[in-house]
Amino acid sequence: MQRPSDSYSRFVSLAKVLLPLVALGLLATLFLVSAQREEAGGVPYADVELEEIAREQRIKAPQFSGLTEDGASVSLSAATARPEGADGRSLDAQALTFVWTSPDGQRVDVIADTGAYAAQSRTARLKGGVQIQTSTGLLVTTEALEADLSTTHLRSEGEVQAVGRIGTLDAQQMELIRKDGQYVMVFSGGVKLVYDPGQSAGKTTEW
Amino acid sequence: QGTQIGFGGFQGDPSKPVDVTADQLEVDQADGAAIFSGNVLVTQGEMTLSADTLRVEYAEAGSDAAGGISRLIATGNVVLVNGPDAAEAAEAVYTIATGIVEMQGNVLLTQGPNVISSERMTANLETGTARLDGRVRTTLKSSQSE
Repeated sequence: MQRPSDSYSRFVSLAKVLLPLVALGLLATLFLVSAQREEAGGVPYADVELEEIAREQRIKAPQFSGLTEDGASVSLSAATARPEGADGRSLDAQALTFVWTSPDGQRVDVIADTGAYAAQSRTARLKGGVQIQTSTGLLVTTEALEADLSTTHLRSEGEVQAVGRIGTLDAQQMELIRKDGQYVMVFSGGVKLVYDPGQSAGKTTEW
Repeated sequence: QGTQIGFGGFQGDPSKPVDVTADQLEVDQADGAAIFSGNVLVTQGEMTLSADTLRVEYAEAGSDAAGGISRLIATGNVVLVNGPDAAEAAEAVYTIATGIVEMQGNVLLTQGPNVISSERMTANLETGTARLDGRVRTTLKSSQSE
């Protein structure tokens, strides 16, 4: 393409080269100039929690259920649990719920703040604000309760208070046992009951 | 034949709280029946009832006591003491709402020096009266003969 003589043609050929370059430059800076979006949010775990989760094996909402020798169903669940002890089969747990249901439908529901479950002896020990609600309308509170999951045997460690249709009751110990074919809750070691005819009518603790 | 006598000599109050102390209490998980055993002592105001075992019977949900305790059935050397008077029997049934105690099985009522024995006795704690039935025998000790 010979060199054009007049200035206009020279201008046009020059423009044909310069203008695309300028366009290219504009296009390139398009992303540079755009608004600086801040970098995507960080991972939701704090560092310390990460280490904690990594270090200990924590089980979320474990649930254990089974049958006792006499055919009652038992189930133990917790908010979180950590393996304990050498064999690692025992658990240390928080916010426990224990439900015992007899073959013919009688129920005992237990809640406690903390607890430990020993696998080889199949016993659970619930501690801290233990509340035991029975299907006969009795609410028993105590500090610690031992539950044998292989047979039907609950035993309070220490004194208990109970409230229900019968009135309010204090006793040194409470045991749920199977006695000649019947499931019986035995309060022993000296029992004191106060029944107020006027006020307790109909005061059953629904729970 | 029956005799009507004062028992306890004052108006009892069946709506007062009832205290029960015993060695042991068994609550049957099937129907909630409760049995106290081992030197059972029931106290309500001035009245005390002691026995070997005490069974608690609940009122049906519909009835007046609405699921509370309706009757206490005491068995085994039962002693009912109401103020100065005392009555012994083999068995006693105390209906809380009405304040009536029915005792049976060689009842022995002692009022001061006098001793009255019969087969059955119905004491009303509210009105402070008692009625004895069945072979009532009274031994009155006149004060001079002591």
